[in-house]
Amino acid sequence: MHSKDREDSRREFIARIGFDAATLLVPVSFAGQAFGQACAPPGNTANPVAWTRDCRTIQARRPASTLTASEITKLKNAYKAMRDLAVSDPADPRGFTHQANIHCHNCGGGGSSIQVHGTLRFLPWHRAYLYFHERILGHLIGDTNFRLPFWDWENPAHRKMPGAYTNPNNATNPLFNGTRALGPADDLDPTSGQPATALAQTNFNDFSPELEGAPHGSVHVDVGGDMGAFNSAARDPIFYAHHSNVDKIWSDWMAADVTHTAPATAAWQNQTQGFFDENKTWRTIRNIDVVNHEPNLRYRYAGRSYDFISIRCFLRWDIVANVSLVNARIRIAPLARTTLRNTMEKSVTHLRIIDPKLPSDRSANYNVYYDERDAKENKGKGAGTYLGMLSVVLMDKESAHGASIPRQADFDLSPKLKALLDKTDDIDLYYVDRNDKQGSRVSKLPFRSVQMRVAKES
Amino acid sequence: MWQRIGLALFAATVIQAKELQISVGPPPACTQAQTLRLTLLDVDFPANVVANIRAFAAPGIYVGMLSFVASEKPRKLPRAEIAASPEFRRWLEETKPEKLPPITLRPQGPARKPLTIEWTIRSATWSCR
Repeated sequence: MHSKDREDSRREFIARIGFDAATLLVPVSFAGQAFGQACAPPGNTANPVAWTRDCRTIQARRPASTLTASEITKLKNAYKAMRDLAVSDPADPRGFTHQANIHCHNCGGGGSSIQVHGTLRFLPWHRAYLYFHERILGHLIGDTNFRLPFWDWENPAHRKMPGAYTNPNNATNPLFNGTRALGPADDLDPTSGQPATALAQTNFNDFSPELEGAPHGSVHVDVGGDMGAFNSAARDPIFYAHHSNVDKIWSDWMAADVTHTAPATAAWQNQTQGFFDENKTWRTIRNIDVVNHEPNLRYRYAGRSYDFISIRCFLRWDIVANVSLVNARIRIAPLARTTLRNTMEKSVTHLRIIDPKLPSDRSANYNVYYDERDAKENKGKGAGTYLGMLSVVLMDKESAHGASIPRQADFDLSPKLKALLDKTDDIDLYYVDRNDKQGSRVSKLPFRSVQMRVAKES
Repeated sequence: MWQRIGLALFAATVIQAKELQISVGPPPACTQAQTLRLTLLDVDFPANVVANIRAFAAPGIYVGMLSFVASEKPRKLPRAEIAASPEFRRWLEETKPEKLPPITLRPQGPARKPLTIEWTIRSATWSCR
């Protein structure tokens, strides 16, 4: 991704999650920690080994409040072993302090330049982090079936911290943290941890910042103490149960509708993160590797957030408007315009482009617009006629085996449908390389056909 | 990207140091597919404060929330968005207020402790997206 794109998307994220994550450091009131604490990973990270999937049994992550006594004992034993390791071998990357510092290092703490918050890496990075953390915990107690629990704070019955983390509420409990402001008997504020707005989003670029903002952030704030600052948050074991729930909500959102998908861009999919595994091997894992957590990361979730929250459900996508091609331009006939105007208030409208013809000589991300002038300015999401992005990825660097070009692409027209319908001329589509900020190589986008698809809420 | 439908400047009134009260025009009619957002412009927020800023249109009418985790430096955000809660949107649909009551922005710390902090915003807009 171009650096300006990164900056633009970061600014947009920050607006929606409410904090400037780049400036996050520990507040002075937190005892025992200092500004600029070192939290880089220990040991050699120069020669990473790529992650490969394992064949452990697929096990459920379960609500922390529903764990049996023996499961709570196992969870506490795992964290005790991790805390003990931090004392017996402070250099071991699997020890609790280093595990907590992974989060610090990836939120700009200790002078790190890495920041996963406020970006589209937020969800995949935390998923990978918890995955390796969970494997280490399981390894330390000799149980490959160990899975992290989640604090399902959206469940009205589970608004207190799960009992395992507060009973006993002292340092004899490996899941205890003495800096918390939220007491064992305290409920979260009724408005905290409410993911309904996030779950209502129709694409990942909206869903991710919406979930990262109030639902995720408010729980950090309400718990307080170490949880109230990103570079100390993972020092509280409740962090992992909290983020397991954030991860579950992502999983729930993906499962709720076939149109809920991870970003299709090669840049996002191939982005890698590094972690030590249970054998102290430095591994890299790509975003695309963590999207399907059940087959790849060997866990599923017991229960869904929409057991408690009504989620928008699109039962059926209908082609409600016949869109014709006249001289390779899109024509929306008057009747189709009327149909779309009548449905747009209570529906989601997608423009499906079938078989777009894009250059296959190189890997590139192309912005698609329905206005040539906007395409030349190439402001991406900032342009009113921006439809979305199409990615072309070469099969190999030499281009010997061609390229992967999407056979069809759906663009969400809902926010701009009215403006599009007000445009009475036939419509051309234009594409331009996302990195071509001068818009000097704008081309008309040829395609085989188009559809206007509408889904109404049930 | 942004479909700005409503725009209203307002004067932020400091009721107590901890709360801000804003007057902003009625929200636009967003479609069901869109999220109604209250965008705060030019937010100045102090360092070392962990807070949830909760917005209320009237007692019991919760608009939405913005979370701040601790930061070493004071923050100057060009804009910060509050996604309107389903309850607020339902309330708008049911009552259809001609004039929106002033919105109170209430900072609360961990465990919902009221905060007395100095923070400011320049203006606010509604938008649909």
